[in-house]
Amino acid sequence: MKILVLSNLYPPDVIGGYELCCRQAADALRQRGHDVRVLTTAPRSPSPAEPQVRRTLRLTDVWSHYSFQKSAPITAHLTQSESHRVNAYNVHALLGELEEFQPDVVYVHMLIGIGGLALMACLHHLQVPWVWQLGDDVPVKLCQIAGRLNPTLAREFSRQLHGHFIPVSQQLLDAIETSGATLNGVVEVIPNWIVGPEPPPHADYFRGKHLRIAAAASIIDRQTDKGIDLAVEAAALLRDRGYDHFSLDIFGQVHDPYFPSLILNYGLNDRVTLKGSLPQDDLIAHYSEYDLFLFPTRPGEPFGVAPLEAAARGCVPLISQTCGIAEWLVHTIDCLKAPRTAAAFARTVSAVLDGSIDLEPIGRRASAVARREFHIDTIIPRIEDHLRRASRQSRAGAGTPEEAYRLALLAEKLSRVLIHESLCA
Amino acid sequence: MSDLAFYNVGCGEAKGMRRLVVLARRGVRRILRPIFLRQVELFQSLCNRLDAAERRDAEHRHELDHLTRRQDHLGDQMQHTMAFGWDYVALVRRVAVLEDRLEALAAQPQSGHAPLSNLRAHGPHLIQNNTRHADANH
Repeated sequence: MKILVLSNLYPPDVIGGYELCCRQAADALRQRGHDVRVLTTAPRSPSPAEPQVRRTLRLTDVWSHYSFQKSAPITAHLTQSESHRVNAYNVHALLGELEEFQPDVVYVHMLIGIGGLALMACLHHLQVPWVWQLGDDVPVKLCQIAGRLNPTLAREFSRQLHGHFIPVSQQLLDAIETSGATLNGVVEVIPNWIVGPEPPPHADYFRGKHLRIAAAASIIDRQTDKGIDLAVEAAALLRDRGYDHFSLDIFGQVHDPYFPSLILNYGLNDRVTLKGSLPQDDLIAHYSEYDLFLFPTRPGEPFGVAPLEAAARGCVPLISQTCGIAEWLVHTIDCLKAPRTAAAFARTVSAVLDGSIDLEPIGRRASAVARREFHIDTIIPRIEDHLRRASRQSRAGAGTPEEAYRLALLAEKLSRVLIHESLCA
Repeated sequence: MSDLAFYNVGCGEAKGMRRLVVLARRGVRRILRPIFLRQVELFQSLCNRLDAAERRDAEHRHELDHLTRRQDHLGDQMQHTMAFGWDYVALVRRVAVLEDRLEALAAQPQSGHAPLSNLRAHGPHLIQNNTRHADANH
């Protein structure tokens, strides 16, 4: 099959796990003999050219909270419109790629920042089949104006966009549908995955000596709310209860001075360390050195690959009991779960420190399950099946690229005029 | 209990020239007494209503505290129930995979078991296939 992968970012330019998964899926499909081309944005920092990666889209950066908060309301609205709804330049780039590559199917990933709604509308207009990998509530975000779901956009999204959706968890699917954006077509929940060869078995678990705990997030700040503050507070509670044979290493890029201050304020410098950001492969390899992986993320977390990667290395994940990954791992069988509070996490860790929870069998099972059921080799045939089924879709009644581009230009201008009139008139 | 007999103010015993003023006040008080008494009744009624409203307010606060505690408790219970539900989902997915694997193993010829790697195509998510039909206009 000729597969065009569409993503806002592509490694080495990444924000989180979504883009990494995109690359892993593209590589896996290529290894299975498909002709895969990636259409993404110009990188935000220099990166080496790759023959199968076209970086011709333009990114509208809406992830800089600082500049977004400081901008005037009209600028913020115009930026969001270009990022979420329509960017005619990107529609033109997509049309060019469709014309040149002639894909059988488009494998869609994250669309925020590139005028996602218009790109999907373009595919719809040309009747190009697509499969949308949903690692986040992207349809809901695309239909939002100023942070609130626009019912008209959501209704039209549900009415017009018909295709294959692959949400990574049932909780994500529920969240999207309860928000009002109904997914119309074939919907199958398929989990995220891990990659790489089988690692050596985890040796020398905690046995009353020193418990090595890890936590990780791509970006450590309060906006993304991965619960790193809860991990630090749990460490403080444990120390206050007299436990001193543990250490907590936190990996990730710290964007928020709140976290170093928190560690200082609790006086935890001797046992909590901010280790900074590591390349993905190095980070995964490091998990073998830890016994427990804390993941006290927010309840709305769509999946959370990091605990799965830790599990594959035999590092037992201790996760919030209602995040996305919690519906894939079983409590006390191959992970530990706790309510999302520092006290609850501290309680579970203290049970490990007291010896009432034995990590070794949980870690062994977690590693086996992760490798057996969540390896990309297991997952990719299911995605491939969706791509194949989608590619057989009839293209009868398709519009022309000229029409699609003209409509995109019209929508872009109309959107700008409406924003100007509503805010400046 | 509030002393609402405001008209007695300044009518106490006095000496010297002030006695005359007090006598005058007492005279006026005698003349206006029915009006003052009615006014006291009105004040008393307002006081009663205010006391009742304060009592109700206190009761409502108490009920609200109780409901808040109950809401928090229910929220916690719901979180636990949801957590149990997702754990159940994970468990069922795992059982589904095991059943598939068992069936595949049982279907193998007597000569030997299939290596586990041959059975990898079975995912942990068979029960989640959620297919919908498109709108009639598609």
